[in-house]
Amino acid sequence: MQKKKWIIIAIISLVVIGSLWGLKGGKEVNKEKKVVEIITWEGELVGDAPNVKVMRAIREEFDSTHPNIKVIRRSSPSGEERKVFATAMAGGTGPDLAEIAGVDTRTYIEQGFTAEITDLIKDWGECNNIYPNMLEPVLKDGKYYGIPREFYLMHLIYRTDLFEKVGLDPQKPPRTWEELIEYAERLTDHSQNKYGFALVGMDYCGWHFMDYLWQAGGEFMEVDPKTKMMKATFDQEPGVVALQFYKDLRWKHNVIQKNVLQDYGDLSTDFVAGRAAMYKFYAQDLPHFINLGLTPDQIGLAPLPAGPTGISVSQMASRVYIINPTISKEKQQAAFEYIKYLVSKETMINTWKLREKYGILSPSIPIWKGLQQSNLVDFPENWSNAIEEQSKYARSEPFFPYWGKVKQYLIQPIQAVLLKRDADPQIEMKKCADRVQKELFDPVGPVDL
Amino acid sequence: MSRRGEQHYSAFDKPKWAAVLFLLPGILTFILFRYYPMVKAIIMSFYDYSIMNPPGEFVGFGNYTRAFQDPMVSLVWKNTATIVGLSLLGIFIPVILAILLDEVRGGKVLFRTIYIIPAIMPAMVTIVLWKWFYNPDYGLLNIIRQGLGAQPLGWLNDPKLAKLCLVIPGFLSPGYTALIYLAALQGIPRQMYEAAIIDGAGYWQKLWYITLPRIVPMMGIMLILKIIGAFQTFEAPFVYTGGGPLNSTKVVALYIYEEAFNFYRMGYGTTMAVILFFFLIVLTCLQVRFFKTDPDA
Repeated sequence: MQKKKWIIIAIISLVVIGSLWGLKGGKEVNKEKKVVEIITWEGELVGDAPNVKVMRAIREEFDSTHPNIKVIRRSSPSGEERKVFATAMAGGTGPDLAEIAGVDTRTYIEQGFTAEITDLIKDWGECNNIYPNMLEPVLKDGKYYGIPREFYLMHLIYRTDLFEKVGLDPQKPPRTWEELIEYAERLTDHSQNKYGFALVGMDYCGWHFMDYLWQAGGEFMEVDPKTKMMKATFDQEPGVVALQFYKDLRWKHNVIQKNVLQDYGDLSTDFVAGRAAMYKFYAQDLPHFINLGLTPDQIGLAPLPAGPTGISVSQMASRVYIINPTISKEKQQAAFEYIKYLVSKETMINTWKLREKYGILSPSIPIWKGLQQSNLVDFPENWSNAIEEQSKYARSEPFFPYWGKVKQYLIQPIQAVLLKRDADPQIEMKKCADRVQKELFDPVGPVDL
Repeated sequence: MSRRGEQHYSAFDKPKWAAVLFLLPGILTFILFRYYPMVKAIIMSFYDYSIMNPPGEFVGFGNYTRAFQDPMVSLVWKNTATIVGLSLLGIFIPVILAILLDEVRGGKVLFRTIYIIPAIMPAMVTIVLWKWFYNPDYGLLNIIRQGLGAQPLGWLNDPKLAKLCLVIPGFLSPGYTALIYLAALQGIPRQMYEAAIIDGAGYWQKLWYITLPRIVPMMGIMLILKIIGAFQTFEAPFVYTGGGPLNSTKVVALYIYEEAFNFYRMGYGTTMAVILFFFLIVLTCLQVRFFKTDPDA
C-alpha cells in the first residue's frame, strides 16, 4: 500500500513537471518573433459599403503578409483634420504615421511634425520611378520628409442632363473662359434659383483662385535675383485679369450663386440638387457625388477652361504620408514598411481593380512613371480624356514661406469684387499685394528657394 | 450652560477640516482645468511657442508689441465691440417677457414651456438653421421679403448687415434669461403691491417703483454675463461667415483661433487671449461697481 502511494505521487509529479517544461518552451518560441505595433488614424471599418470592402481587402492583405507589424487603426478625434492633428502632436498623442494634404507638408516640416526619412527612402531605391515634381512637396533642403501617395487635379465638372435640357452638347464642354460664360448664361435661370457656375467665395477662395491666376499667365510671388527678397506679383496684369473675370461672372453675366459665402460643401449640394450646373472640383471626389445620388452618366468631366494664355492650368495636389518624429526608430521602420505597401504599384492597381469591381469610379493619378489608371480601369471615356488632357497642364501648389497666409489675404480682394459692384480689381489687388509685401514678405528677408 | 474648561461647539463652530475636505476635490479640479491653463497661457504669451519643442524662443513682450501694431487686431476689436453693442439691443426683451409671464393669469406653465424649449436646443442647431434662413438664393427670409414685394437682401453676404445677422437669432431666444428674471420677480413680496394699490398706485407706478428696482441687480448680473459672452463670441461667426464677408465679422476669438490653429502661432494667439482676459476683468469690475445698488433704498 505504501509502495503504491509513492508510485502515484511520482507519476503526478512527472506530469506536472512535464507540463511546466512544455509551457516554458512555448514562451521561448513566441519571443523569437517580435511584433512592432504602429498606430494610425485610418479608423476601424464598419459595415459593407463598397469603399469599406475595398479598404478592408487592402488592409487585410498587408496584415496577412506582414505578421511582424501590427497596425492599430484608430479613428481620429472629431474636428477639422489640421487642428486635431496639431493638437494631438502637441499633446504627444499623434499617430505614428499620418496621411496629410500635400500642401501642408512644408508647414508640418517647419513645425516638427514629420520625421526626416531620407535614409529610409534611399534604401528603398524607388525615387527614380516616381515623377520628380511629385516629390517636391516632401523634399526640403535635399532631405525627404514623407512619401506622396497619389495626386489629384482640379477639373470642370458639369451636369450633362442640365446641359441637354438647355440644348448644349455634353460632349463639348466649355474650353475657354469665354465659352464658360456663354454656357453658364444659358444654364442660369434665377427664377428657378438655378445658376450656371458655382464659385467658391468663402474663406478658401484663395485656393480656388490659384488656377485662374495661372491661366491668366500670372504668378503669386517672385524672388528678386539680386536681393533674394520675395516680391508679391499677383497684383500685376494677370492677377487683375483673373479677378476681373470673377467680377464679371458675378455682376456682368450674373451666372454664379448669390450666396458668395457658401462653402464648397453647400456648393456640392447645389450641384447634386441641380441648382448649379458647373463646378470646379477634384475628380477624385466624384464618388462623393455618386453617393449623393447622381449617376456617372449625369456627371461630365472636362479640363478647366483655358484663360487668356490658352492653357488650362490646374493645380496638382497630393496626399502625403508622414511619420511621427517622436517614435522609436523601430516603429519608424515599421511605419515606413506600411507606407511602402500603401503607395506601391501593386497596391494602387489592386485598389483600382477592387473599386471597379464594387462600382466605385474614382480617378486618381499615381506617383509612378508609366502607370495610368485609364489603361487598367474602364472609366467613362469623357472622364479618361479629361484626366489625361488636364495632366499635361498640372502644376503643384506653391510652397514659399507664408503661402497659407497669402491665400488668407487674397480673401479680401476676391470677396470685395464678388460683393461690391463698384469694387475695382486693380485697386483691390494692389492693396492686397502691398499688405502681403509689408506684413509677410519683407519681414522674412532674403530667401533661398 | 457649559462647565468651566469644557469645549462647547455650536453648529457654526464645527471643525473646518470637514468642510475643506468636501471642497478639496472641486477646488483641485477647478485649479487644474481653469487656473492652470490660464497661468500656462500667460506664460506662453511671452514665447514664440513651439508645439513640438515647448516653450520655444523667449520673446518677452514681443507678442504684445506685435498685437498692438497689427492692423487686423484693431479691426477685430472694432468688429467685436460692434457686435457687443448690437447684442445689447435685445437686453430688455427677456425682462419684458418675464414681466408678461408673471402677469399672465392662466396657462403660466404652458407659456413658460413654450419659451424654454428653444433655449435648450443646442446653439449649433440654431446657427445652422439660421444659416439656411439667411441664404440669399433660397433662404426663408428672402422668400418672405419677395412675397411682400421687397427686394431680397444679401444678409450674411452684406458686410453692413452681417454683424446684425449674427445677433438676431439671440433676440428670438430670450426664454432662458426670462426664466431667471421671472424667478426674481416672484421673489418680490406681494404685500408691497397690495400696499401700493391701497396707496393708489397704478400699473406703471408699481412697475417703476417696485418691480424694476427689485430686478435691477439681476439685470446687472445678466448684463455683465452678456457682455462677457458677447466679447468671447466665436461659434456664430465661425459657422455663419468664417469671419467674412470682407472681414466684417472677424472677431477677437476667431482671430485668436486662426492665428493659433491655422498658422500655429500659439504664442501670439495666447497673447491676444490674455489681452482679452484682462480687458474683461477691468470691464467686469467697473460694471460690478456700477450695479451695486440696494433695492430697498
